[in-house]
Amino acid sequence: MALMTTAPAQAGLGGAKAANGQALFEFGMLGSGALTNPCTPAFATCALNATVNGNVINTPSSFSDTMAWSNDSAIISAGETCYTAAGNGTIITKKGDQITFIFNGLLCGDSDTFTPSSLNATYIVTGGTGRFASSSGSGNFTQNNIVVGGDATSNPKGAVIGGSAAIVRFDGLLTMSPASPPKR
Amino acid sequence: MMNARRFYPMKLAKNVLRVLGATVAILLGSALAHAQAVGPSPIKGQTLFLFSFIGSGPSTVMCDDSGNCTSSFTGTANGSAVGLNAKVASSFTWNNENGGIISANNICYLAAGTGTVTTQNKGKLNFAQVGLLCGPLDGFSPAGFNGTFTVTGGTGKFAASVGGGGATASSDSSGFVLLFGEGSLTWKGVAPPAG
Repeated sequence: MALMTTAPAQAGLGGAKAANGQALFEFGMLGSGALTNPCTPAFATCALNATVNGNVINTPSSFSDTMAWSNDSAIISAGETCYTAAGNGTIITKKGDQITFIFNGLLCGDSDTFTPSSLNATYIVTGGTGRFASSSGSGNFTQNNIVVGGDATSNPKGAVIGGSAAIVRFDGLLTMSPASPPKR
Repeated sequence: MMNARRFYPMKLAKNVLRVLGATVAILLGSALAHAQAVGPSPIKGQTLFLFSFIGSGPSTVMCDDSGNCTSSFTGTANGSAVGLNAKVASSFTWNNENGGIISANNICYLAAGTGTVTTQNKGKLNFAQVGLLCGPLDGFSPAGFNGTFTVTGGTGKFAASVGGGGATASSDSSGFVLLFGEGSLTWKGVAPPAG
């Protein structure tokens, strides 16, 4: 069962000093959760509440983001439509420490249904609380928006849901205090 | 005068058990060290895990008179869940005459398509991909792709899979493609070893 909560990335490479004087290291996170709506052009905004596992943040942590886009920004080609989407979010660890971030990128989906859709974005850490109070960082952020079949009951041990859902993945770097992430 | 050695079957059995136990512990420890990372799954009964793969192979580009172009790629890929020497095939379409984003002597088109990864023994994984396909403005040919892939199902172990993530690819002047994808995938059962 320990395997089931293994973080997406180990502490990994690190040690280089960031501009804020903190150690810089790899940061990875993976999880899923429920969307407020299917992230389609009809809404032009959507929000996600997910449960995630990752190094640094420990497991499980809660993740939330909100993104919006202008339907006028559409790029249409090859049966797909993409919008330049931007938003912000928060990761809250089990101990209550928070990481806040902003992101922007391309939200793409089938021109007719826009379901499923995918966000290919860059995240930028803007700060936080607790041991992330002075954090900075950035990296790749993908969010795959899907529709999950079956019943709509939630699983309290995870993020199993029915309806509009998303899988999120962070892959990049982060600084924090103390200088290195705790051993898991 | 030779020393007489006595045979102690119980002692031998204990030593054999110790060796076996140590071997199992080492193997188990090795497996744990290489276990794939997992996260809370959106699908009941399926495990969500980190999924990555690398691949390479030749590609061809065909365009019609209206500027509708298709790049087709076939090659082999290695990665977590798909194993070694999986066959990968994908195609992109875009239109050379519409919607190009021009900057710094390069042009990018929104390209989209589908693909499959056929493993040696775990089945077939279907995916869709969309992103920006970029190349030189003068005499465009696809040089780089940066986008996302979305798992759309499959067969065998991937029959009920969902997932997706980021995908990048590069192509040299002869059309030889290097492919990298990293994201997430679900399947029934424990997560596979890391790729």
